[in-house]
Amino acid sequence: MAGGKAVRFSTPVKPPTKPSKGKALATDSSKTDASSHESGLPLARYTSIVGTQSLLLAFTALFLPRSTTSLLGSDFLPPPSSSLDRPQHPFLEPITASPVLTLVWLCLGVGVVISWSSGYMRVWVKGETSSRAGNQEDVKSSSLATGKSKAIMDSYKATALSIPIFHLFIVLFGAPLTSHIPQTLLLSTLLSLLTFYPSTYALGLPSLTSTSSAAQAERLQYVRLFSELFTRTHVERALVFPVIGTVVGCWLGAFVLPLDWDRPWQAWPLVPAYGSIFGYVVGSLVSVTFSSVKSLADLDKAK
Amino acid sequence: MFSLHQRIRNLAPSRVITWVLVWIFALHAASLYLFTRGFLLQRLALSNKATCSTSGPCSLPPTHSKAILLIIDSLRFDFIAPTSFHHPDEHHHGILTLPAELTAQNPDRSFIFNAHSDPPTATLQRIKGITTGSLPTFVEMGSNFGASEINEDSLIHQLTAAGKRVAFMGDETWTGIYPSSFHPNMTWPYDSFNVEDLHSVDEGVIRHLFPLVRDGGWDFAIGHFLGVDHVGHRVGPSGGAMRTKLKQMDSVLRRLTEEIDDDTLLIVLGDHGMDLKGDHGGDGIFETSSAMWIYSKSIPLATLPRPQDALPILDSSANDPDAERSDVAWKTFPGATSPSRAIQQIDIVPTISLLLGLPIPFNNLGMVIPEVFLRQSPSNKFVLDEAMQLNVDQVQAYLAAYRESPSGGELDEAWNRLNRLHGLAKTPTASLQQKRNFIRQSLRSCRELWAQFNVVLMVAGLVALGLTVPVVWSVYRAIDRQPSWDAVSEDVLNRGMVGAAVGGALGLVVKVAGRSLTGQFTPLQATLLGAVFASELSVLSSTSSTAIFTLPRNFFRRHTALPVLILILHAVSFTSNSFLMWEDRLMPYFLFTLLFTSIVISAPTAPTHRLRIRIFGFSIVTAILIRLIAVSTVCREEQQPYCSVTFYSSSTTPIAPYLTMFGAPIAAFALPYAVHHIFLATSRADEAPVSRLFLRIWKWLLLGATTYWILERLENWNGLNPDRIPLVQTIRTYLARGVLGCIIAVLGAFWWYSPLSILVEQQAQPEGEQGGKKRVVVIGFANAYGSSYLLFLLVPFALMFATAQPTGQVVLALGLMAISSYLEVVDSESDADGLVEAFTSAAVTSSATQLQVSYQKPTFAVPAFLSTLSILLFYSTGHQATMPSIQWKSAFIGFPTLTYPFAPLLVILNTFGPIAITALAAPLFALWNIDPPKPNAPTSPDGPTESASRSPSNLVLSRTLKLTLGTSLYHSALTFGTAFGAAALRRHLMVWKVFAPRFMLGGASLLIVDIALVFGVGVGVSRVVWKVEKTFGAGRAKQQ
Repeated sequence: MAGGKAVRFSTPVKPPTKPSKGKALATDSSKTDASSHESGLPLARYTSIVGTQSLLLAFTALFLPRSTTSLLGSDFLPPPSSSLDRPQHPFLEPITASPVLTLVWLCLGVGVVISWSSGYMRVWVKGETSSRAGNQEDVKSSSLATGKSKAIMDSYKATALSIPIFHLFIVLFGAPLTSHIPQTLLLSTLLSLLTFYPSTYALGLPSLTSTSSAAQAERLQYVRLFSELFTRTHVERALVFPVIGTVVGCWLGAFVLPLDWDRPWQAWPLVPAYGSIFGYVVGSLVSVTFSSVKSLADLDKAK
Repeated sequence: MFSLHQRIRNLAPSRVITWVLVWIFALHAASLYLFTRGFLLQRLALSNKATCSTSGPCSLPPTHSKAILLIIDSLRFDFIAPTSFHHPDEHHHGILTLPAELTAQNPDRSFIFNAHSDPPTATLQRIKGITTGSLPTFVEMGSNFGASEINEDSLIHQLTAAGKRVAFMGDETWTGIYPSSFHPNMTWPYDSFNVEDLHSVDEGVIRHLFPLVRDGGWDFAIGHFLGVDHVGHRVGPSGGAMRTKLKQMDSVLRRLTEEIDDDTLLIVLGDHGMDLKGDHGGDGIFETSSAMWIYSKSIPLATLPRPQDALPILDSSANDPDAERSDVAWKTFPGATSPSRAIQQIDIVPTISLLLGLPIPFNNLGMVIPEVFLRQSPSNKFVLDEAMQLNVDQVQAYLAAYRESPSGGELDEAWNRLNRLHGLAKTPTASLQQKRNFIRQSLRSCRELWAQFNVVLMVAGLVALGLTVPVVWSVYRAIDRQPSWDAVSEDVLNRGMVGAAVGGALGLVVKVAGRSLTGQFTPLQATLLGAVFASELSVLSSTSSTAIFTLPRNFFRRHTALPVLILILHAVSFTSNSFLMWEDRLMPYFLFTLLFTSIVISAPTAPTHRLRIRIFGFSIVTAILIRLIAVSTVCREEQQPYCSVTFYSSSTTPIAPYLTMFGAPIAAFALPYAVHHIFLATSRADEAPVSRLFLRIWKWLLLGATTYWILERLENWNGLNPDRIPLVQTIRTYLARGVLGCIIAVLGAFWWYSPLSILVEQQAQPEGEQGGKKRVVVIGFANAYGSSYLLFLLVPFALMFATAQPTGQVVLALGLMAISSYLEVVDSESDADGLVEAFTSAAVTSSATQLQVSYQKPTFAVPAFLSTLSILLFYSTGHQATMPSIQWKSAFIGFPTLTYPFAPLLVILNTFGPIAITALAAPLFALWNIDPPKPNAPTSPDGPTESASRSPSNLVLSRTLKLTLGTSLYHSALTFGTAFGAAALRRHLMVWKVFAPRFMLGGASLLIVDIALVFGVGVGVSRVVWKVEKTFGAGRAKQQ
């Protein structure tokens, strides 16, 4: 840092142009956009989507892991491992019998649910962008339809690429280095699906190398949303809050791991996985509540 | 007062910081002293053994040739009581009835007692009590420093010394205390801490007990059942499982009494009781009332008339005015309809000894149980008389030996009285009553010394310790809020010292004047208590202290809120045994939580590409280093089976794994390289000749330190010619001495006298300006403070490195890398924030040409990171919060035999080095990359406070004060958490196993941190500031 510091007192520093422009851009647009776009909350549609999504995720979390026994027979799972004098509730049995299988089911279920709900988020984002641009007609027909399959593939690629990053982070948090690799990998997959897929699909993949101003603006949008956690519109909240919920839920889920309760559901990585799904649902619900309250208040103000 | 104030004002600024830290150290030390005096009971364990070589009889003729000692863990007296109860509980009353039935049938051969177990009522302590007859306390300062096994005389020792074969089955705690005393073919230990498991230990004992009884081949058998205890902890004494368990115990005893030989003595006892929830550990009546049943199958023991009429000795202690509740001969258990015969649990020790014809263990304080000696000897003597006489002689011998020992002073107060009582008891005509009085008074005196929780002292110490947190926090905050830091610290010193003096005097006066009020305290404790509280309150009452009630302006930004959240989580975790046992795994979690925000938030939002890369890269590197450090562990036993030892090559062989035998020399090579070419190079301080030379010496010392361990390994290598072993040993001894000596004498002195790590060069002016003229360039100027302090830090680091084992050396090297790497993260984040701030203000004033980038204030994240890392390093250098994990091996580095004072010093360096080194690193974060005062510059860009200050190094000193206070604050809160956990849970099953050791670690590390901070500021920072001001300040002073 000596270079920077040496410069500091000898010559006046020329402010780097790139970020300052971004900053200015961001603050300017926030002033102009906020009033015009925030009112457009498709409350009924959004609420029903979040409601259905929450129900589906709950179903995924609680009932999907049971498919192992119904598909493959009860002999497929290892016998109950809980201590005999304090048996666990039979409802939990298929979930805790094999954490890896449970995680596989969670990933499959979450993948399907998220793919479905992200489709809606994408429509919403595109709708806002194009309404800002002023040509509402084209939105559904052209830009969405043409880029759709490519966007889905791109998002899945990004999600897949982010799995090792999540894996690294989980290990850095203290997950076993050499054992339990499938478990950690599946948890990373689940986290990628819950965090990377919806936003990359809805907002589009930012280019990491391009220096064009559009690419920079896209990158800055990601930085603003997911680093500064600064949201301006309903749709941005709908994308960001579930991500925060997922990360916090997973983080909190680790708290029960050291407890000496000796319960089968404490097996790695069940609680962090369920915590992240629960956090995602809570984040979505908070986003719905927040946005509807805010849009109602805005309506009131408009009157 | 005025002169004190003047004195403080006249101190050099760095001295002011040092004294503030010394004051905090004194507060911590006094609070910890008060708390420990109330909480940790201590005594000296004498290693004398009772023998029969002295003149006179040493024991009685044996009545039994064999004995079975069955311990049913947590068997409370009422579980077997022969009396009835007002409200009997169907789950534990009247189920284990065999003892009562047999006692009713055979009052001359079967005896039931309500035995008083001395607190702490935990299994380990009680086993020691039942075998040594002494009052076990938590801290036992043995003369042989280091062994976890007992080295006092004991029943077990007397048995083996008499050539008897001892069989053992049950709770493995026994094999920890007596690792080599049990017959190897007849030892079946079982894991004791799996409370979930109610049956496997008991089933194991039963499986081995009956074949053993049938086959013989032993003289003394010990069985330790754990089921009742585990049921108690799981469901309590009134749970359904208790009934089943006691029934099982009843049937075991019924079968056993049928199967044993006629000359086998059976003793069944509970090591302690359980409270109404089924827990134990404290001194409640339910916990201390344990059951005891002595059964002689065919040999009658009490042939004389029943005791209470015949013997004054068993009367309730009418003639003993000092008798305590715990010490009367007849006691009514709560809820019982009639009193029962009550004894001390340790009375069993002399009783068994004499019944088996063995000498009474040397340290015993128990008194023979009169009932079992109520008979005439073949030579027509009253056996009880002889037994009591032996007992009196033994207790007197013990007291005399303790009086002679270094701790003999403890007996001062009681000594005259005990002497008088002994004078009465030793005469041939002495009554049983007089003998009894002497033995019981001895027990009482010793108990007063060793075995009482002093709740008043504990609470006083805890509150005093807890108050240091808001006190330090208020000073920490005041530095930010008040215009000048030195005024704040002068005020604090003034108030703190005056408060201490006034409060100390007040405490002493109150103690002397009103004895009844302060009976709990000694004069020293009363003085300390007054001084600590008055000092703390007077600082808290100052105007700046309102700071504690207001949150900092940026509190909810992550650099303050997140570290505070982590601190709270960490401190609260000490009230849970699970989190405490897994604390080593919690540390990377906390540390990466801190770093995660740098990666996800700071890195993407940094204003320049260079800063983004630096923050991201160094955060990831720090995180990876931390994760690697966390790989090294010596597992504590409770972590099994989820943990495997990596610090040593296996859990049973305490030598370093091959990987680190190679890794340590590599670390010793690579570390100086990394420090030189990465961490000093960014500020070009690496080019200074001082740095080069220093690092070269340092490297050779580190290499010497690892070579020591290679030689040590070579010594144990099979291929080495055995004749050369002494040579290798001599070489490594002198190598270690040389390395340790050079670190202190050569490296230390070199740093002290060396100039700053800068290089002054003359350069030609760049083209375009007046050619030909040369100018002076100071390379490494921007980090003159930081680089010099880093070199200072390397001196104590080398000491820690030299006292660590190979794996520890690798861990310490990684730890230093992690600290330096995090230093770059913090530095870059601070630059990023500074730049953003500068842009914002520039945008407002619209004069973008002149950017003023100010230094960011150090955040609480730095103390949080360093303190959490310190605990991780402690665990990863092969330690745990348990006594057995102390690396006694390090006492012999450079000293083949135990040498004072070096042995304890080396062990302390080995144990607390990792904690000290992180505390010493706190000022590094304050000094790193802060510009020295510029020569020939009248003002410096430090803001308006500069003009008010007295020192040109004002900025670094205020940063140093803040970061050192933050570090001390963080550890204060943690230590308060450990003390609170230990005190609140003093009846927890695991208090002596888990909470108390963690408190001791917390207390010791807090003091170590304070001492390290005082050393770092008083020596390191002061000298660095002096060097910088001498180098750069001269020109400025001349100009003004």
